[in-house]
Amino acid sequence: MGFPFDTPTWDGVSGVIFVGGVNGPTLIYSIIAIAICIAALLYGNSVESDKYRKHK
Amino acid sequence: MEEQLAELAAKVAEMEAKGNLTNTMFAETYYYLTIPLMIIIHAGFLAYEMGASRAKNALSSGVKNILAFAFVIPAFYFFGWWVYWGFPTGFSLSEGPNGISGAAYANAIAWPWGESAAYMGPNTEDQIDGVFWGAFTLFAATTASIMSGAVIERIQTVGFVILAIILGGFSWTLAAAWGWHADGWLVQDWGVHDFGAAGLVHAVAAFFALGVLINLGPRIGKFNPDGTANHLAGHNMPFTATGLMLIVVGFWGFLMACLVVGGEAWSWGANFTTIYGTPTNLGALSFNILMGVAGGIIGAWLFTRDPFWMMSGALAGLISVASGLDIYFPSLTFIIAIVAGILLKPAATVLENMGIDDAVGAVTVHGTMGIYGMLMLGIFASGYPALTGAEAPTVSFVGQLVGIIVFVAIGFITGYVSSLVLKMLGMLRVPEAAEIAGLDTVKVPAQAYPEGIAASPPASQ
Repeated sequence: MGFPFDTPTWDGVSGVIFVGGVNGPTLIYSIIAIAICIAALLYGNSVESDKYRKHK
Repeated sequence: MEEQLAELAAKVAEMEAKGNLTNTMFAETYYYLTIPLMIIIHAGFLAYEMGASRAKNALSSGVKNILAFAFVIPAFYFFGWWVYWGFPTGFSLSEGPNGISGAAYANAIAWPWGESAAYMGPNTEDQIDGVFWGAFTLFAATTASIMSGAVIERIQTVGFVILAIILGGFSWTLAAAWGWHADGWLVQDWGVHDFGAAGLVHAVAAFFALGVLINLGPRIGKFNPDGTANHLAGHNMPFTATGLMLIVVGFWGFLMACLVVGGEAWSWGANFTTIYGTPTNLGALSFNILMGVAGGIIGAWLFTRDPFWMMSGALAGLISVASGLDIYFPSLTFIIAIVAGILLKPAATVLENMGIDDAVGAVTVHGTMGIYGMLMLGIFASGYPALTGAEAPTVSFVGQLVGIIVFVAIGFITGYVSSLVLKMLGMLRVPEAAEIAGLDTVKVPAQAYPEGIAASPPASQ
């Protein structure tokens, strides 16, 4: 991704310091993270339902 | 002379800058430390609910708590924080009188993408949003834990997690936007004052739980055919009582986070205030939290002699005075809390007689006492300014009554509707066979007590 400032030093840097900065792929990261949460719930529900089926 | 004056002015400016920096770092550290303190609430709920479960369900109850904690955090990051800043004036999403609310404001500071991401990630020029968000996230997680205990031993794990996300990410946040935010319409129009969140956290979560319980139904064996109730004792009362004490410890962090540290651009003034900008301080909290906890325990002990209800009484006492912890006189706090402790068990019995199986008394402790606490403030603090400013709305019994009706409605309606949808999808209640076998055996790949709980003989002298 690379350091977003002109030279690779923290000297003189202030404000946003997270990887990519506000112009980075924050939306993409967030969409992926939300999708993972939803997928985890769907998978968890599938596993849980399977466990119940085996105990009928 | 001029040189000396210039030098002195430079030194004063330097000292002022250092003083401001120290204050900012204090404020940041203050809220940061409330977060691990509030995590103790979750350690407490974990122990409390595992102990209150029968041995066959102990780990399953714990898994539920751990997952609620984990899922509410990203939910609050991705949309809960936006709800708090977007909704204070109601569903219009318009800007409020203080200019710190509405859709435009929330879009600018609370989405974790685009320009507003500057406030939602590491930023050397923003030392408050991260810790503020962290504290509010733990408030959100607390609401989920309050609901959690009521539904143990028969709710599906993922169904419960979805309910926790709705409660922690939306329901309580809407209540907080309306009744806790300085631009909130309940505050501005009705003078609602709920410093320690008796209504907007405790009652909202409890009535959300009640809505869920109606759709969930009681545990197998809880009620006899004639409607009388059986006591389904948890397997570890010492664990439960210790958990309850941990919850009380964690609430020191919760209530500490309800204060606004002074001296910052975003503060209400130079000193500690409430979230409404009205005066209070840590001394007020120390007096009143301790007297509230003590009163609740004594009140419950008078009528039950039961350590479960005595420790629940501690919470009930605290919740009953939470709305006015900022301004109550400690002796009055003690009286209100003792009454709460006395009312606790009979109120739980009333609910049970209505056929509701609230496994840990959460609806009573948090809901009934939340209502009681909001109304007590309306009686004893009537006429007090509810908000900072020259023409502030004042606290009144009617205002507190309107506030608690709204909080109860938010909790109950969202809890009932969301659990009804899950029920229709077959995601709410575990099958009967699984409930009878025990949920640990059915779905937890670990054993709570692999060697049983055998008594060991004492060592010889």
